[in-house]
Amino acid sequence: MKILDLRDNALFLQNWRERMRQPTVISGVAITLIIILLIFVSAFYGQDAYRYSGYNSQYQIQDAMFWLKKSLWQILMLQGGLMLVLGTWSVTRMASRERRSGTLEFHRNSPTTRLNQALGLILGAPSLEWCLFALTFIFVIPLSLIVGFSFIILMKFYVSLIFMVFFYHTIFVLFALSSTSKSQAAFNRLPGILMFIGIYVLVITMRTQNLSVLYHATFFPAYDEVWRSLFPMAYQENSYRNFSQTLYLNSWWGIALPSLILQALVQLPLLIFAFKGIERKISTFDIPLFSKAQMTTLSFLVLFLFLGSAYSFLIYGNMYNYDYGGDSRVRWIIYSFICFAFFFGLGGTLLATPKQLSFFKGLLRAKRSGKNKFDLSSDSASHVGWLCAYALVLGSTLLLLSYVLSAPVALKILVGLNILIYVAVFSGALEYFRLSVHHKKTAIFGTIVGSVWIVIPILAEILKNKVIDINVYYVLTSLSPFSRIELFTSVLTRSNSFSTFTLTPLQVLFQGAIVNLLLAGVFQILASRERKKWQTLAAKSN
Amino acid sequence: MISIKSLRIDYEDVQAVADLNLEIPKGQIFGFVGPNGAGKTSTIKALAGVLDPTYGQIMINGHDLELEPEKTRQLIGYMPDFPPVYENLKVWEYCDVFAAAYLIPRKERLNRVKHWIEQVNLLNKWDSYVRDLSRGMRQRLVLAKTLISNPDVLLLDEPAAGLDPIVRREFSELLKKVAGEGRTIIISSHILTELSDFCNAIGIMEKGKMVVAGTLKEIREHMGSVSQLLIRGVNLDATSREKLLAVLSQASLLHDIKEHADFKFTATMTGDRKYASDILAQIVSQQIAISDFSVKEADVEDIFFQIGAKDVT
Repeated sequence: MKILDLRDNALFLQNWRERMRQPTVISGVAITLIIILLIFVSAFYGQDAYRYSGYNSQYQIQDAMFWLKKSLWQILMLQGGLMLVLGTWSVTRMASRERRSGTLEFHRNSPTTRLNQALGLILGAPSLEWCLFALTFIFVIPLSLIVGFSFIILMKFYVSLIFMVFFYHTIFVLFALSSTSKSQAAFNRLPGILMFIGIYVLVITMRTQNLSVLYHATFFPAYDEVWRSLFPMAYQENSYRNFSQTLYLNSWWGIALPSLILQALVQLPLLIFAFKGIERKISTFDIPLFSKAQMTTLSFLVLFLFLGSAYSFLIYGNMYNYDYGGDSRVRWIIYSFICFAFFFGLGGTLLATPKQLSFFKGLLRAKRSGKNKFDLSSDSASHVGWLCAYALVLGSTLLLLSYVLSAPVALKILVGLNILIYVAVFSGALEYFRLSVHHKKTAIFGTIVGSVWIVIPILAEILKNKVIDINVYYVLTSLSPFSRIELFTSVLTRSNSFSTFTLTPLQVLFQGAIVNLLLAGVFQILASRERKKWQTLAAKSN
Repeated sequence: MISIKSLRIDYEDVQAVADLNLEIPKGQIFGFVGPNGAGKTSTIKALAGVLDPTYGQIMINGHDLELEPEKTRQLIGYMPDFPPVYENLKVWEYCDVFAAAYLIPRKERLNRVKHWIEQVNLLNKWDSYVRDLSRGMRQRLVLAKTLISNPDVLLLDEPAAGLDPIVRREFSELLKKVAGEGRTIIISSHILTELSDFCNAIGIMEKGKMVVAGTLKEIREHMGSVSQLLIRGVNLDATSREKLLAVLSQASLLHDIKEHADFKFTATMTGDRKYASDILAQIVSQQIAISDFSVKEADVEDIFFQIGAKDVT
């Protein structure tokens, strides 16, 4: 079976047939044509033309070329909307339905490869949107020829857009299949819809974060280039658009790269990871999206990509950007790095910490194969292996950060240790509760983490200098990573914002590390006890 | 041939299957019997490759399910108890999708689809949407989908679940037809008479363990040829009745002797037919008038209740 011969791909056939029913296609075509008609009409009568052309608005109606350019631009936006919003929505809806209804089990039981099944779902579910996308070319091609739009730029736009669409669809299939239970399959309820909207809000936010990797993980580079080419006069006048061509947004580790290369650099590795995750989830639903080794590689990759962008921002940012300069730019990089590193630590822990059944199964399998302990990298293994791998990732990326920024090594080690200890607290508590037999363990875990990380520091902040002593305040606020991210940033940038504390930065970091080390120790001991309980049970089991 | 070695399946709070060992020869129709929660469905799911067992080895026609999953899956047809369907596909489209999933060449697909839709008597529904089919029709459609790849091994988990008696009988007839085509079939069912009709071997599972497995003959032998003895007397007076009861109670291989209305007597017999003829000879020699003397060999239901139901609550 040829992998790209979709006529033999079961999931593609199923999705294609469901989505390409005559009435659906007719109404889809009709709505698309009506929207295009509205685009032509609104472009003709639109009152905002002068913003693009620099012409006086009273002449715009006579300027047919401008009208057609504006129409072309809006049809290109319609294409993006069709594929990136409607197409993505269809993919996630169909994928989560497969998961929820159980039909995916039939495909899992078939001899088709997982890669084929994933491709069938990703390409088949948005088949209607692809057809409507193709339909819009009836307008795009003649309009491009009439306005003399560069063929090369148009081709670059479509390569970028189609790759982007494939990337988004794959990521959203991964989300849809990520739940471990059928009833919780993503995107079947309001939280799923909110998540869908939230991700698009995040994407739009990513555009303005001054980092080339974030910018090229969005669809904006493709559109910005088309816009510059279609409306060069307006581009010169518009500082916001101007920003999109800055060197720091188009380079990585200081090397200027073409937009498509940067897009591939960011999206291709993530795409491969997403495919691996989908293949894993199709094979067995009750395993995490990524293995421990994959999660470690992914964490390093994302932090490495981030640092490459940060480096570019640091060396080119001064030249082009007027908002950031000196200390604030460095501060922003460190702040983002700490956030990335910390949240990847938590995310990885959630995937790497085994659930009770998985851990017990792993023990029994190990016993069966004559081993005393199982491989630390296996899905069933304790989170400890992941924690060590994460420490290595954090250490190596902090070293790279030294290349980007100059801060005392001791401070970097101390900040790194603090982040690691927070992750250790979280992972120890998570493993303890996951392995324990408490009936409401998820709720108890959520309450404890929420209290220690959010409620207690807020209370400490309220009661500071009134009821509690300043030293007690330091201890209580050090419990929460959220109240310390700002401090870590200040320490590494050696800025004055730290002056609100009466202790030295080093003292506060040490104090926080000791308090959290104790907490991590307690949870790690509890988790270890739970592991031993299951090991004893497995040893006794026939 | 199917070979299961040391299969164990665990769920969050229960061990569903405990070290199951089973060999099912090629062409055998094997019935899984057991109460709810006995581990039948889990075993079938593990065989189908849709459930990851804790450990154990499953071999289908010499191929290891874990090491050669794609090759092994090609040999298996699996039908779950409440099979999900694509509501918005037409009957032929539904089967065609799975013909493609089982790598049937494109040119051959439509003929294969037509053949199996005809076999399950749904040809008149060829262009109907799956959402418009009744429950019985859906079961037949899923059976067609399961058979479309001509699997060597058919795994049917409660195939008649949720069907009314008439549709169940129709479906049962269909299964008998399929069973007669030389495939190895594993079928689980609560409806024991359904299994009696076409299974030539059974396995009784209970609390995750296989209590007994083998052909019906082997199991009967294993259980000491348990059969049901029925005697019907003709207007027996008190003396004849006592004589008859004395003959029965003196027979060491008769248990659970019961007297019913209309001079009917039943007993469980662990001896063979020769033993029954000896009892008949004694009755005749004592000139006890009887109109009926029969020995009924234990069927699946009898065996299940004798073995399986002992600890079933």
